[in-house]
Amino acid sequence: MAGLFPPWSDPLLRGALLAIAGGSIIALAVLMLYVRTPYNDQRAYAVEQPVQFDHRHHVRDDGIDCRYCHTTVDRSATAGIPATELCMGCHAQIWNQSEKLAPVRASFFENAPIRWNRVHDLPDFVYFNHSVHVHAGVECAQCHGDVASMPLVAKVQSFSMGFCLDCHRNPEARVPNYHLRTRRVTSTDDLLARAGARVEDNPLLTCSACHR
Amino acid sequence: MADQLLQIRRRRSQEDELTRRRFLELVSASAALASGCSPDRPEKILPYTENPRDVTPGVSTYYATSLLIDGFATGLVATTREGRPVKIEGNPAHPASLGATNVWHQASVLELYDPDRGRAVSKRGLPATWDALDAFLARPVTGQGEKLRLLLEPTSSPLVHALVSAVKQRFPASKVTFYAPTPGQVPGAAARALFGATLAPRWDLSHADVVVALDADFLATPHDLRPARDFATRRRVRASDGAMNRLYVVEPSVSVTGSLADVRLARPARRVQLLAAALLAALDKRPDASNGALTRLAGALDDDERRFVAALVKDLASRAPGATLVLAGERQPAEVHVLAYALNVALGNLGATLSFSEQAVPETAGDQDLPALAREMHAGAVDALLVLGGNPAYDAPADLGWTRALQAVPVSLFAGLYANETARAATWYAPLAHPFETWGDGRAQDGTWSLVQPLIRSLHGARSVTELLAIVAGAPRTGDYARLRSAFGAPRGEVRRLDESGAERLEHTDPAVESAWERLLARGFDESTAFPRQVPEPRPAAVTDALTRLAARDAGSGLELDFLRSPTVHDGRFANLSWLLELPAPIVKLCWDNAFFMSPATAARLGIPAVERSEPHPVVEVSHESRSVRGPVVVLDGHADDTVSVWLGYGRDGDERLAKGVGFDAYRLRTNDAPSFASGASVKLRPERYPLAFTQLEERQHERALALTTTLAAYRAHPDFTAEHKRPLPSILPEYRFEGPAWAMSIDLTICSGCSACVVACQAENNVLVVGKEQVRNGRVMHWLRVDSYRVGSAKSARFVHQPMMCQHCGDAPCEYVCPVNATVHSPDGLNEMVYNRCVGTRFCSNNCPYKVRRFNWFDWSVHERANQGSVELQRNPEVSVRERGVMEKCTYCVQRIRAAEIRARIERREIRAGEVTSACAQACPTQAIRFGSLTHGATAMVEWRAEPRSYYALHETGARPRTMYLARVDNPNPELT
Repeated sequence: MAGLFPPWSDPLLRGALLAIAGGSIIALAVLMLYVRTPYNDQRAYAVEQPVQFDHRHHVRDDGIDCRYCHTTVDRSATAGIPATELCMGCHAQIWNQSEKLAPVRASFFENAPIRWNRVHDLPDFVYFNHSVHVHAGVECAQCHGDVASMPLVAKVQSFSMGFCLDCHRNPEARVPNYHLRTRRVTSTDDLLARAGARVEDNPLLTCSACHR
Repeated sequence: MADQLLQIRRRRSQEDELTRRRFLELVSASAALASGCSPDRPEKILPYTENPRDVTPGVSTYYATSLLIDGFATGLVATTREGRPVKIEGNPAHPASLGATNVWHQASVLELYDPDRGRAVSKRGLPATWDALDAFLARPVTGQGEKLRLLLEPTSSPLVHALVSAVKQRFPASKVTFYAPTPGQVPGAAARALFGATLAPRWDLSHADVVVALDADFLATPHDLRPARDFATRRRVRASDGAMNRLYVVEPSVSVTGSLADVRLARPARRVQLLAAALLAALDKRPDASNGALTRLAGALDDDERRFVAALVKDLASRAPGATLVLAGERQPAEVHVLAYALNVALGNLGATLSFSEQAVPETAGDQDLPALAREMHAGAVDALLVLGGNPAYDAPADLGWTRALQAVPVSLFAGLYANETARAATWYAPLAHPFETWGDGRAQDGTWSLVQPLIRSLHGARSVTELLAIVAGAPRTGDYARLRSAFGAPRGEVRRLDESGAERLEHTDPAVESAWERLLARGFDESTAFPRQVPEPRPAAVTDALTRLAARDAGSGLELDFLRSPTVHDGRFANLSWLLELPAPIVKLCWDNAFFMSPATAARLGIPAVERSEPHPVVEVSHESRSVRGPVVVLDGHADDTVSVWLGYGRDGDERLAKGVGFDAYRLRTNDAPSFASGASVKLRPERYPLAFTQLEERQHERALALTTTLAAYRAHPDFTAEHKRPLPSILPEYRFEGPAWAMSIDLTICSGCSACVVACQAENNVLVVGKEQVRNGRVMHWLRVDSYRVGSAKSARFVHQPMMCQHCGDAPCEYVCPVNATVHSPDGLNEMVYNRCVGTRFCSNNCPYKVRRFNWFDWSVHERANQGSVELQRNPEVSVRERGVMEKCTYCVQRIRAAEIRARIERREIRAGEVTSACAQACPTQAIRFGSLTHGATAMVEWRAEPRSYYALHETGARPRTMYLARVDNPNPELT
């Protein structure tokens, strides 16, 4: 009696089994590698904006401080996107005919907000507060990168929970002298007494620090 | 044409059908989405074009304003975020608030965003314009206004009264009526009879050692939170050898005040006059005091009442003059108030615990009362009726025939927040602006002039009562702000000018006035405007008159029917607010319905079967003077016999969608001559049953150590009676290392009145959504904080101990060990944290919680329940997540407030100060029974209370080591009556 399957079906079956096993491992590996790439957290893209606002020009060439436009960064949870009137403060005078600024003028005169695209989009269950970080000595660039050299702003950090915790667990690594600057120095004696002493004022690591 | 339609239909059906191609498309698209091949569409950021003044995105702004309830102002502080009000707190400096709020103040912010509010002017049900209405209002009638009538709600607002006078100036023959369905203050007639002037009593409960409340629910005064605070300061026993006041209450139903009573006598409201007379007979020793009427009234007492009066008289007589206080409730007739005042005079309280001042809501402001107006309307003597606020078609006495009377009026206008029953009957409807949308003013109970400040631009372009009145008065259209500002400036020497367009323009010549005005706005009220206290001379003849009138009047017999203001929806004006509809009423714990309440003995006598609270309840038909109403019966321990009480304010039938069909309308039983209680009702059992939603099904503690109670005598003898409930317990668990502040709560059950302001405050602060009646019956109510009320004493004279119960933030939290995904964990500052994103909804934690304070989201309530949808979403606190389906939630000790304070402290490089953080419940509490803070702040009341002998942990034997500590309820019963 002839075999139920021809002889060549054996290697085929082995090959198929190997392909299934190997394929799933490769698929898994691809996914695991993917989440580690900038593609996963949208770091790979610079986000298009309705106005071709160039931070390189404003920050590097003109030397405008971040807080000139992002006014609430040291007193509110949000850094603040400037109101159109702030743009017009200068651009009513200079480049006031520029084609590139047409959407800004339209916004101002029609009293319609400019619809910017969010680049750093934290999930809604995260309650991040800019002011406390700025006051703790965290520089803008530590999270946002060298915005002064970005024609279009792109994320440079993953902004994952791991990214936050890296710094919260070991602030000294990112913020030099963190433990020496988190308490107000009231007198010279105070300063001397504290010289070299660590102030135990660690950043919060507890869940409700950010999730409520 | 038909072919085309057919084609379209075919194409549609092809699209709807799930073909293989479509399936593969969907699978590949979702796979692509899941693997993140295409980045999500970026979220938009819309900055302002022009930065509004005072608005910093992400930072709250606070405004001092006021809310008028029953016409009286209570000072509030409103929190706004990016221009929208999100939370209301009491103004700590305001004399009627003292920083506290009640359920209505808390829910007022929900009312602002209510999607059912009236949005547009209509005439005979059809859309109309404001211009058309203005044209009508500018000339409502011809001539001197002989046929013009105005109907307003009683108010203390000087601005409204000034404009009413202006209307009267333009139409001298017109008449004004002020009407509210439930009395907001004690009748001024009593003071007029006894002292010769219409005055309002000013009680000083902080100096009264014995308080006698005759049908007076003074702890739940809707517009004044001072009595509750004053009572609590005298009530709280500070040490085991400390003193406390004693509260006697006579009342028909079980009120918040009655639940705290040391001696409670449940009696029909009509018998209160007899008890007052008997007290007077025993205490007033003047020779002319005793007469036939007095002895006749006092002689009608039964044995229990006689015992009560004898013991009370002995107690009162043993106290120093001026150290007691007798209060009569606003539901009682003026004669009873005369007797109560006379009792205070006899006890030496006049000038001590009782003084008088001008009425803030003047009773004498109107030209005629509602029945007189209705008679005129029936007679065709009214051509134009302007109803500004209220809801007379729903809440007018049933025998006035209001709706028929209105049909006899050719043109009528109703202006109100909602297009309610009255709007339907009127010719014109105009939407009224919410108090948080307009400028205005009012006076507190003590006369303090308080400002109403807008928090947001009118959502629907509605107008205020004053703006409408100004048109009728032909006054310049300057707006409420200018009117208010010039009322402030004029006595200070500022001048008003009309500009060329005829509009009024203010010329602020004096910068000092302007800065005084700015200070007033920031503070919200002017304390120098409080009415001076008066101690008038009583006329004894008035007492004899009152007694003679009482003795001559038929007190009534048979079943008494008591009409009570609802503890949740007031007189019906708040009936569309989901928070209040779902708020378990104090003591009864009934929500989403009203009911007829009666005592077990009366229910048995009437043949009403006893049922469990979870079962459908028997329905009765209650009849009174040829009118009858059907509704479910709830049997209530501690209710007076031969009495049926019922909450007004339900059974609404206006455009308010949530209120519609909730409960039944008890106003239909109420007649003009007996607005508060009536005798001679009859009750007939119906065959049907009706399910009710209770949040507490059991009224006793069954020997568990939840809410501990004792008496003052027992406390003095055994101060350490709670030692067993706070001793160290052995634990096999590793010690948790706490650091930083240690958040904790102390709750004194002695002064908790069960008013439930904390429940609504928590709901407003923490985005707690409502679930609806069916889901409450399923036990799925979401309140993070509930108030459990347990019966103390016998069923007949039942009193209740109230226990606010929320997450206890246990040190060894039983919920934490059983969570398989670490969704509930501990923080170093002692909070038991709930991480929604980790929660997978096993509900093990809730099962293992001894306090049953965890709530599970069985549905996505923001989608599942209509009441949570629409513009009310604007109220949500942006600092708190709205929880999704399938996750557990619970009290967080208002962690968002803690973290905000921490951020402030870190920025300012300092430690958190004592008292800097308080929870929403503690902030709202009228008696300050809830205290919140850090254990590291030693000098605060929260910490000091914990050292008192009567402090304890609830269910201590479970070893959960809670952070919340309770202080046992101490009562001060009269030894002769126990």
